[in-house]
Amino acid sequence: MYDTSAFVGQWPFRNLRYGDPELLQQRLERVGITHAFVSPAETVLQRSPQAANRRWADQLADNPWFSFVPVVNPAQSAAAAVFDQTPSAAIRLMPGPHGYGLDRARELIGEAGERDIAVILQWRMIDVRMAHPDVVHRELTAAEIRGVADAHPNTRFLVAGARPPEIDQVLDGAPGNVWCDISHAEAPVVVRKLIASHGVVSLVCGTHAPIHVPEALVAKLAASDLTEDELAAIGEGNARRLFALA
Amino acid sequence: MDFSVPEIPGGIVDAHVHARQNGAWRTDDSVTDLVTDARRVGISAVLTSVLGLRGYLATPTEEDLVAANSWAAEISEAHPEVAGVVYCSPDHIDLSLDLMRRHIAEGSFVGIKLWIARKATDPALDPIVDYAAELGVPILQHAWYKTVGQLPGESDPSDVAHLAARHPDATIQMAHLSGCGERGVLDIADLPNVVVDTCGGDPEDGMVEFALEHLGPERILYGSDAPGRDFGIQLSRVLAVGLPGDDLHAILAGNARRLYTRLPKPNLEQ
Repeated sequence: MYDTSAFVGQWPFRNLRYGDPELLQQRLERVGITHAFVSPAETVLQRSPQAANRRWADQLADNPWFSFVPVVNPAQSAAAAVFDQTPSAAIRLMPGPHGYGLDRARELIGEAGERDIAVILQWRMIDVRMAHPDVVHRELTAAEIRGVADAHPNTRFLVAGARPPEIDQVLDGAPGNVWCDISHAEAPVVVRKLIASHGVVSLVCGTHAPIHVPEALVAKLAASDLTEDELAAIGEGNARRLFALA
Repeated sequence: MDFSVPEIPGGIVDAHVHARQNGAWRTDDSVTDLVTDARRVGISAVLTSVLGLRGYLATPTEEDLVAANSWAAEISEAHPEVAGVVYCSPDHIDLSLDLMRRHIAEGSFVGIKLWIARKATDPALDPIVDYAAELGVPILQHAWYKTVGQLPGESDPSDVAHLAARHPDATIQMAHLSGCGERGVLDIADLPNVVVDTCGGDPEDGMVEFALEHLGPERILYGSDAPGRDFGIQLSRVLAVGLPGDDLHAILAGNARRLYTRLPKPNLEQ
């Protein structure tokens, strides 16, 4: 099972016990994850994430269990350099924490599409009610996501950290280049409901670990009584299409 | 996909549930669905307050309170897994006391719920809390440290600490460990008559461990806030700790059974 939405490193707001890659891998393997796409958590408060990207890309380069996903701030003039510096299946955008609108990212998004690299759009990193009072980040909206997805049909997008009603808004009538992770989806039989509304093809697993407990993913999948085919799709197949993996 | 839950003799007790009439997800009956989902993860008792028949009502009228608690009585009678918790409001003190008499002293309910009509510092709560202490039932008191959206009558943990200090003979279950956060745990750490339940927002790693360190396992109760949240996902944040058996049993069942003395004794042969 692929975890499309996990993090390594330090979280500025409290200590993470599993930010170290080795510990994170052990923790995720315990819940059946076989491969994780990770970004540096500390970049949430870094307007220039390049240094963290370079450090983590180097550190994870020899560990095929992880796919490193650099965080990019398109408001920076050299942002597109990430495509040449860090080979990756995806880039992650954090428009709320980094303070820009998705319109600002259109050039970067277009280039990602040309290079066959997926774009992860982080809806939220933390429940705004529990955010640090000095750091209340804007959350994304379905309208702006749909706007860039419609405008860039050749770019594949993963929306990470959205709640079920937000996933509904994003996926309802969405083009085929948009996927959503289920890291922040919580309700009774939530995965079954999402499948009933949108089909299975646009959903992928995400844990938001080590900020959230990865065991929650197992609980939500189990509650929905997925068929083997559904589990195979959400657990791996959809992610392989999203990230254009062989 | 197998979500393994250790077997707890007599079953797990969920100390924070709000049944509602609408929004069924498996059948056409939301309470049947609630009990079904609870059972699937090993929960044998759900401590349920009903916060209104027309949605969750922060400032219910007298009629709202009577209707909500009457329906709670109906569903607890129909489903042995459902233990009623009286929804009280300091805006209606006499009625709240009457509902407590009717449903606890003369009925089968096991506790009371105070939500967000008024802060826990408000003296209007005192007669209700005094009567709960006299009846020997815990008070489930809403609490949250919100960065945005804290409502005027919404208590934070420091308000709960104020209430607990005013009523040392009352047992207070402070709701929402994750919503209260580390600061909230520390607010009530020195007040032995306050316990905390484990729900409140997303299943953040490390919060149960923090509560264990500062409160000890005997002051933590598993609660889900279902069906607004999910039994299993909220359970996962407790299971993820990897607790030794005695501590796990305490959090998942033992503490609730110790404090909610009116809960029927569990069937250990189930």
